[in-house]
Amino acid sequence: MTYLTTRRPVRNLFNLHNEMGRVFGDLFAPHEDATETKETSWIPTVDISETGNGYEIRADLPGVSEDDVNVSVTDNVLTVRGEKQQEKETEGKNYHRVERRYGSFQRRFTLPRHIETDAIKAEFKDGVLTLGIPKAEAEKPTEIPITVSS
Amino acid sequence: MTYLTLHRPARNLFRFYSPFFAPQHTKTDADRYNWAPSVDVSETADNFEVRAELPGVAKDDLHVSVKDNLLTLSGEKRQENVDDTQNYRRVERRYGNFQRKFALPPEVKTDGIKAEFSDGVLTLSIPKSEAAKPTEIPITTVS
Repeated sequence: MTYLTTRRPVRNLFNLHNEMGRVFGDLFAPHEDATETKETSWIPTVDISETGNGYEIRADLPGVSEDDVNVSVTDNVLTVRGEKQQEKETEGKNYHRVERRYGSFQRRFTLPRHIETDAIKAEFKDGVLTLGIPKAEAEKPTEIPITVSS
Repeated sequence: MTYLTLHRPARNLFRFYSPFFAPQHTKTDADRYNWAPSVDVSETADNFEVRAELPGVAKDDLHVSVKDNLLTLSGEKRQENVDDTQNYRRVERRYGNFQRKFALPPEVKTDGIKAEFSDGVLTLSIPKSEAAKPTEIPITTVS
């Protein structure tokens, strides 16, 4: 009967993922604890990818104003937080359907070591926040040339 | 035990009380489309407004059409710069084709629908016809 209480199966899937991350020491594993989920009313979805030069985080933040988004790094923990405000209520506006989520949101990620935190770039376009996180020189793969001795 | 199957109570409530703006979908639609954007639908005295969340969707990949009083919002969300050197560690965002259909109330001016796209939110303004707007009737006092 456990699944009768499962209102948001997808979120639970992520929780499982987070739990696995905690166990296996996954980098970029989201940092969430019980107190945070109480304060935040929704969680933006993110993609995280890695290239030779750095990491990239893309977060879907449709309808969020640029001024309402805050990105910070403390103790190797990257925090994206902000608020999505509902369009100004006008007199005599009746809502037939509200599927979008409003209010404050927060996501935190543990950064891997060897990151240039000073050089993190944040871009916001078409409701998507893109964070470019460059790797430090020491962490970039160096190609070792092979010489043929004849 | 009926309410155990109510996964989205608000949607069912809506279907009962007003047929307008109730989503129109069939089982085949669900198979063909990968995701569905969240929408808000509101009404004022002059028009209806539909706001859909489409973050990361290019304007050219977005289509809005009206046929037989059915408003269709469709398009495709493409994954950004995917190349061989990029390893994905986490993919929560949904990509691919999407579609949503809404039954319009009879009192709208379909040729006056305006669509605006900004910050990943598509706003459709659907004006009501003159006949549908509420008219204030002045009360005169007989002395």
